[in-house]
Amino acid sequence: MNTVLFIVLSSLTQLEGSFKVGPAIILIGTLVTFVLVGIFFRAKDPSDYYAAGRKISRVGSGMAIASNWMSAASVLGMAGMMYGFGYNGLAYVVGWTGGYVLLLILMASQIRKYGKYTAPDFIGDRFYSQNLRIASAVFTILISFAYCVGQFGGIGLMFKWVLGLDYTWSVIIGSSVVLIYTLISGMIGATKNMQIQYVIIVVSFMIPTFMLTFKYDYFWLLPQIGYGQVVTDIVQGIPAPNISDGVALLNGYGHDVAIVPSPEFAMPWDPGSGTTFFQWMAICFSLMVGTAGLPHVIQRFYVVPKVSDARWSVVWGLFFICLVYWTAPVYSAFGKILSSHPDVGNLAKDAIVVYTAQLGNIHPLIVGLLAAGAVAAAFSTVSGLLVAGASAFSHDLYVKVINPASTPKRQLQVARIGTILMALMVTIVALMELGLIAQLVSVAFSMAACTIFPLFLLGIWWSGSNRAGAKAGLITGIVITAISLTYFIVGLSGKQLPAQEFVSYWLNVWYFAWLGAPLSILVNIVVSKMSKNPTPVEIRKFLAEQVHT
Amino acid sequence: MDKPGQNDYHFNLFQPLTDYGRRIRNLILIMLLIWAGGVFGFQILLRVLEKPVPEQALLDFNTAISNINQGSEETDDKLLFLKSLLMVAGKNVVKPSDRVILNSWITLSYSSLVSDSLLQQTLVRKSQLKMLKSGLVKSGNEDYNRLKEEIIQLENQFLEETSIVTGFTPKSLESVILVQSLDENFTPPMLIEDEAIQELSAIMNLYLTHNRSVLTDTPFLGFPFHYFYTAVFLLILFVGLCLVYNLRIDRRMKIEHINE
Repeated sequence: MNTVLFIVLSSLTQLEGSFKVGPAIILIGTLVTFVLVGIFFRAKDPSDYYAAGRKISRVGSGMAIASNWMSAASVLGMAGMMYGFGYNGLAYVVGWTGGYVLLLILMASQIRKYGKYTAPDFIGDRFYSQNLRIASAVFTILISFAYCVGQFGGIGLMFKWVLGLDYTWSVIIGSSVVLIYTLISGMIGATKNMQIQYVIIVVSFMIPTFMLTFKYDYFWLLPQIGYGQVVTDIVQGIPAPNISDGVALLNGYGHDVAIVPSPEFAMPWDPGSGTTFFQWMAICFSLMVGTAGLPHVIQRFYVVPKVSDARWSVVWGLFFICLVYWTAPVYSAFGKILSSHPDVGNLAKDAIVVYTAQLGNIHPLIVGLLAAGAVAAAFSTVSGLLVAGASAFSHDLYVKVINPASTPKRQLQVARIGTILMALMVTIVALMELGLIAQLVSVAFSMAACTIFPLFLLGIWWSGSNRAGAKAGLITGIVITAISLTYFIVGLSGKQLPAQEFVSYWLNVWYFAWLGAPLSILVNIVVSKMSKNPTPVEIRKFLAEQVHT
Repeated sequence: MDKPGQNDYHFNLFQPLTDYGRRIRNLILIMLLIWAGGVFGFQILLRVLEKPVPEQALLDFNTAISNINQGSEETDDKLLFLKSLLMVAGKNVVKPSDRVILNSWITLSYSSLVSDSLLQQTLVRKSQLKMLKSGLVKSGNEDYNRLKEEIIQLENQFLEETSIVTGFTPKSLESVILVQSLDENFTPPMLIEDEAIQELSAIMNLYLTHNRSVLTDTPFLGFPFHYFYTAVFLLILFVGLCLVYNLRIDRRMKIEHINE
């Protein structure tokens, strides 16, 4: 019995390679729960599929916003960025939370007041342009697509860790499961699931941090503050172990070697981490502005019953998000120390959360729960993204452009076909492993910041922004996006375009919105002013009387 | 041409149509100002105040290399030089290409402290250790424990041997990094060129110089202050801003008798 137990426990604690029984049971149980919830709360008509029938409460919507938001990038990628790039990783923490302030004060209630189902709906209607509706629908799909790539990567990584399969099979299995449940549930099932997923994410993410701070004798009652001393210890270094009778005592971390002073972990834009002040600012700005332009985030405001609910759901959502974002740096700090032994070496950044718990000898079942939480995070976001992408495909392209006379049943079919196509293509790109999770996701943010955000910002807050301005602004955003993506793809292939290094730095694919978003807004304003066709009076009237009163 | 404020419904954020709109505009602008100042203002302040500050290891390195260049080096200088290199090699942010250069210098530095025969013996042992470790990765359950035992024994022996030369405590931080960093394929160079020394100096400067200021060096709740501000306080600020905004809007709507 003891031998069997030993083998089982050994399999649970290996960093890589084998099937882990406990985590696998927890993961499968979690996924089955999601599917059952999806079936129980399944969508019965298009209104349910797109916007959950507007039946969700403030706190519930806040939880759904948080769950929808907290993806593999938040749970896995963010700690990985801080582990690998020190203070620059905090640009992701700040960028992905600060954007909610913009979202609340500039958009949330106004979007709900406008009363449309999707982002392309709003853009097409506000700028009285079918072309803009189509363009924004295409971009909604592309943004959701780019966002999903990082998520599928995260799902693959966790399935690989739990099931011991290779990355390819892990991505294929994970994406199949998330696709099945999104298809049978739609947004209403997804919203219910998101609330459950949020609880799983928070509980699984926080428990190990209490254990780590308690075990290593830091202030454990509030690990989000207690890890401050860990950061200072990393900066100053931890002395080598004591020697007693010629035998080295293990230090507090269970290692026979401590950590060299590593100020690069905490000092701003440290040269050793290869990052700069400009990059910190550009990433932070791009993520913030992108947050306020992400279609699947904006879409969440359509599911609340009242305008004030849209506002308050942002506050609840942000608070729930911050609970996890205050906690993520705990993992990076402990991960830094626990992996400081030269034998451990550099760990895969995107899996540092799970590795940290393992290296800290947290009980394997707790580590399994943590992995299940990470998968839940990716699932909740992916389901929202697939619904947003499918909505753009069926509602904004099919119903509004291709076949306006389609029946609700046919619309639902098209939405589901769109979901399947998108999931298939995302899986293929995710298998290419183009970057770290957080970096891949930040591409979607920059795209949203350059294209959707300016249209929403000016569309809501300036009646003078007209169709011509919107088109010119959108084209500007698309051009900047295309330049950045082209240089990135060419760079990946090892070839060089003119000024490759210059563009790769200043218009990097992870943060090109620092330039693209303001430029798009500027062009929109200038062209709108120059245009001789002002916004129709009925739209101005609607904005003034319905949206801003 | 229509003017804002008339019944043509022209408006923008800065020129709202109603008194209610003006109050909302003021609230939004104040919020945006606090938000932008809190996030970007602080980072700019951090940038303005910062100065490049070397770690002690870089100062040691510069002292040692200056003595070595002048040909007045003693064993202590060689050890100081070696130790400063190990302080960089122990960081896990070092790029693989820089690590190769560092390892080669660490081995060169170590070789200056031992006889040729002892160096060869050390490098052979390093090679054995490396082979055993690569075998461990591929081993099955039965071999794993045996190999692990062998590695531990060999490593302890290795640490003891190098410690006698360097004076480091066996199993100390420096000893373990030294054993990890020794390059088993090392061949002593005929001549050390200035360019190689400059290359090493650049690496040492890169990893041992950090941007520091009063904001980074002031402790707060255990954190360096700037880290607390960015990782903890800013998030509190964001939630607070959202909360205040909603409360103000609700209050304003109540005053204005606005029902949704």
